[in-house]
Amino acid sequence: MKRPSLTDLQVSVGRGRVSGKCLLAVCAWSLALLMIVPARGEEEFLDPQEAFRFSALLTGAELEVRYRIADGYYMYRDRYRFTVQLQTGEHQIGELQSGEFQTEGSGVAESAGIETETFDAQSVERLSIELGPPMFPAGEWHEDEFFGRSEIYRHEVTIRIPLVITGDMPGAFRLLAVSQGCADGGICYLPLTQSRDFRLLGRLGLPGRRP
Amino acid sequence: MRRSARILLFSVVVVLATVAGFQLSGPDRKGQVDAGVLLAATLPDLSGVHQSLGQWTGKVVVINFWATWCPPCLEEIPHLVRMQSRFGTQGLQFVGIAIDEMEKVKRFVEEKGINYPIVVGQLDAIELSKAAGNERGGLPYTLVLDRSGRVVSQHYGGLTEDNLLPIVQKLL
Repeated sequence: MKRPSLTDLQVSVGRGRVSGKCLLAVCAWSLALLMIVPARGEEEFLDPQEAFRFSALLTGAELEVRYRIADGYYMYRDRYRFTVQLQTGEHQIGELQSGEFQTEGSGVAESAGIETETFDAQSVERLSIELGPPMFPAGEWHEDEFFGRSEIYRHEVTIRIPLVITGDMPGAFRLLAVSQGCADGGICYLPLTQSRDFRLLGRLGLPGRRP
Repeated sequence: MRRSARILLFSVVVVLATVAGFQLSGPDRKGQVDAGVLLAATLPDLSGVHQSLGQWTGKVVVINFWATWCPPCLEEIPHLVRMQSRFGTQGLQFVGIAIDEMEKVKRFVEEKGINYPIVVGQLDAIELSKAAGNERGGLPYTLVLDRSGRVVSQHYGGLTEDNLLPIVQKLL
């Protein structure tokens, strides 16, 4: 005996009767509706700090800025902007972002403990830091109907920025990095500003002198 | 067999209704969007005259945060323009909030013939967008407000007529 399939069924709904085909049609229509009316939520997309993970390192007279870019996300090469701000006041090294900071010795060490050093307005006046033109690696080309071909980065990009330092050290500065990226899923993030604090001690061939 | 089919039908309906409810009631579910902040905000239009976003209360208002540097935003704008033409007389009102430079927005609006009000801002518009639930700062970001000024839908990413129509039609 043939076993009835769902499409053969007659289902009672209230006082009426609904055929299996009708039931399937309702289900299919409902599923289709859900697919074409996606109320897309914020949770579908990463927080930009997670999508574009920023780190920066001072190596010799160069800043090395790295973005680790989440899968499905990309950053525009022509939208990076880098600036430095000299820091004044009490500077707690332990409050620097995790990672590395330049030490007096070999250049890079893990942040540990809280040390405090004060850089007053006078010491800032003695120091000048300028950024040279950033050096970008080749990216990949992204095409869209509005802007044509744009160079973008996926997965990871390291940008090297020469530092031109004149005057006396020690000193402290903050690197401000503005970037802009999008998700393949169809959103673009507002320009993102990330920062990293550095303390200059005056070695590694940098101009300036130890007091 | 009839009983099991009824149970199946009931289960399917419950599952679909639950999923649909979660999909379509995002903002209310999370309670993130404070319409009061939006409706109290004022931003300059393309002539520099400050416009209150509350002035359109009474209509079904679609507030669209966008920028000229955002390709998904530019992609959806023709859909919004067509819907404004089609349903404007029934009380549908689009309002664009451009997070951008005034001159760039003016040029774009002129070129594309945008037929609904555009206001422009930078940090203030970014803050407004965040206060309106866009904590991650993604664009485009769109909110649908019913005639009483209540936010009934929020949407990240580009919209088309097909996916916006079912949301606004029931409010008109």
